[in-house]
Amino acid sequence: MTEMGSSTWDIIRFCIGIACLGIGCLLTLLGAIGMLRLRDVYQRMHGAGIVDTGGAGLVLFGLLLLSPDWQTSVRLIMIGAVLVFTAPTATHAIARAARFAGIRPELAHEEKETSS
Amino acid sequence: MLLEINLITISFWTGSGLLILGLAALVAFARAIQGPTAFDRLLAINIIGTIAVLVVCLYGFFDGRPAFLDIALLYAFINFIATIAVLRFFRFGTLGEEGSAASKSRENDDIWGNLND
Amino acid sequence: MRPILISTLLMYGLWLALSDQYTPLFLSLGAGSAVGVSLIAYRMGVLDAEGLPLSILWRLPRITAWLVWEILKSNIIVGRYILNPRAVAPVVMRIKATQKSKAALVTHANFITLTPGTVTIAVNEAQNEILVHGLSRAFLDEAMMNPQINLLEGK
Repeated sequence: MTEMGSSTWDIIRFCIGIACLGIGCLLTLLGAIGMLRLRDVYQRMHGAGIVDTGGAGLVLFGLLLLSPDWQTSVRLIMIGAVLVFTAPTATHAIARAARFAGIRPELAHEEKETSS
Repeated sequence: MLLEINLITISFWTGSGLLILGLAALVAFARAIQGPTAFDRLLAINIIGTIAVLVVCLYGFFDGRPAFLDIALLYAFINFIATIAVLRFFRFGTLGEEGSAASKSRENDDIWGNLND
Repeated sequence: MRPILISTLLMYGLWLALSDQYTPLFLSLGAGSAVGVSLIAYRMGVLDAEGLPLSILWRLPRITAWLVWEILKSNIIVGRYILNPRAVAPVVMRIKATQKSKAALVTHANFITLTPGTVTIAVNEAQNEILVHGLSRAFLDEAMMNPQINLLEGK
């Protein structure tokens, strides 16, 4: 990896990158804790959503700011795009399969269905 | 001190990130062991896969070899395909084509039908 | 013919971006595989408006900023719910979609799942309805994405 140099822009980039990286890692941890603490499959999917969007997105954005050359940036953007398109599809597939298997979500109100 | 830009500080910060991500993967793994349904486990494994992609990316920067990103890219694809394949296997008991068309229409009815009770 | 051309250009662009080797041999091999993949995809019949929804992909950047902002907001709210799981009041609701094309409807469903706090459980193509599970009622009000998705369809 080449050195980044130390112009003002590079220092700002570095600091923001590190901050995004840290927040992203902590969000990932928070999402994983959510997997543990929430009560049924459908709720845990929201914890998974945090890992897939906030966690992965911020970590990849932080690395993008730290990336030394354009090839690295292109790969990071590709990984981000792949995650954005596949993660919701996988989550939806699991939700749909769980629904099909007859697992019922725990609901707050008894009037389950309201149309908008 | 830690905001000077060189390989050592980058390794320090990405290394700390790796530790947090490892902890997150362990927490998700606890859910994969605990269950209770197959879908909980599958969701947990899916999340561990996403975390693994991030870990591979971070490790590339930690080690100063961003070529690791190609592996992360592949892993992101394989993670998705694995989830879909396992779901298919749960439902049909096979990865082949058997009975997919017939059960597809029935399944749509079920999903919309059993909501009304 | 046009879808093959566009797909070949996209594939070759991707190949150029991911390859660090720019010698004539590698460049020609890349071009060959890009054309080959596009021809195979065409023969499989997946290069239609659904397989390559150019009109939607082209307009996607317009709502990216809005989507990123929405995702960041929901992340914070869901994070608060995780730290305090007793406050969770899950709801399931049908949302009426106003999209015409299937690709836009799928994008709508995907975006709903992408925002933390709401997950698409099922999509009913016939009635243009999306069944959504939300962590609490507040998320479902945020899940009303029809105006933004309609922008993708060019309305």
